[in-house]
Amino acid sequence: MIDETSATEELSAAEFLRYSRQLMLPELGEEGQLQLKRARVLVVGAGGLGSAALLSLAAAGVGQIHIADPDAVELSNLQRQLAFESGDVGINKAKAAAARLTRLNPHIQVQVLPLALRGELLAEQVASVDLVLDCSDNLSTRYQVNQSCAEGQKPLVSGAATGWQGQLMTFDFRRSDAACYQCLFPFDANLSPDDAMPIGSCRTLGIMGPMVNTLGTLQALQAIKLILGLDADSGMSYLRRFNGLTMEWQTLAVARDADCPVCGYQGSSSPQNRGSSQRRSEYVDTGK
Amino acid sequence: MLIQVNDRQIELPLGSDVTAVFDALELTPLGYALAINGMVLPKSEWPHTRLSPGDDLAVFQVIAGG
Repeated sequence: MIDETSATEELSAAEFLRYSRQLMLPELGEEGQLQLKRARVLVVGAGGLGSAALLSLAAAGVGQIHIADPDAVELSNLQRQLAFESGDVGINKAKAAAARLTRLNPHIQVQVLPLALRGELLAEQVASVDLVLDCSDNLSTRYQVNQSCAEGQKPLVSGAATGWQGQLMTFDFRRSDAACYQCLFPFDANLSPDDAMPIGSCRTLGIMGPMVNTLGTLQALQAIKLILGLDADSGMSYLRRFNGLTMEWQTLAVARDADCPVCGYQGSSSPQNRGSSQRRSEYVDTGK
Repeated sequence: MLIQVNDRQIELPLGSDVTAVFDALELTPLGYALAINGMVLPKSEWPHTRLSPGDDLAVFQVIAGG
């Protein structure tokens, strides 16, 4: 029997059938499907955003998916975290999601990281993939993922939601002029952001399930377009805000902050000079 | 002068800078971003960016939930 998952230069008959509805799209086609098959994506956080993003990426045939999450599935997650079932309660989310994705699509490879990605391990993971989705649930992780992606020059698709509000951001760090998360939400690197900015989480503010599902699915859409070279943002960084009560979207352009300690490296084009890589590695995850 | 902030209009003295908006809204700007006419303004430029009558501002806080 041919091992179909390792053949990245062609599609099997089963894969042609499985992906037939997207293969019809002129923007995709067979070459686009092979691009997806060859793509490696890291998803940080397998909660509400991560569930929706992971299911979409796996179903679309993204070939290598790395899933990082230190937490176990809880009963209160099942209202919105669509990758999990009642029987998954107590199981690590990265492991449970990986099992779900493998059942969904046997043609893809999934790497399980049942831990909080930090420091060197995060940098190694970012270096090993083509693109990163930030689906995490705390600010310290978000600032660290931003810094690692900026240093590793990997595109970052960041999503967030609480209550009825959502935020979607794409930072294409393959471009030397990309703005970053720190430009948008500047924060003193000497402080722990989750302690200093008590902005609340899904646990404290509540969350309407379709909000995280919507934002996570759109993160997957952005990721697929970046893999296919279909980024309509042409390298500009945008923040898109979604109000689930009024169904209104707001699109805001994000310019690089020349004083940004992460990406505003004033005159130097060397990524090594992009701020201090050590600053954020000292954060303790105050998480949930 | 009148400026638009999110869904409401507020009155500020002519020549006010961006930080005056937070004073008017009685908000501590920690974790906030601000956009003027569709473009996010880097925080380092807040103290020396003067607003103009009719400016359309979006003021919002970072969201971390996932």
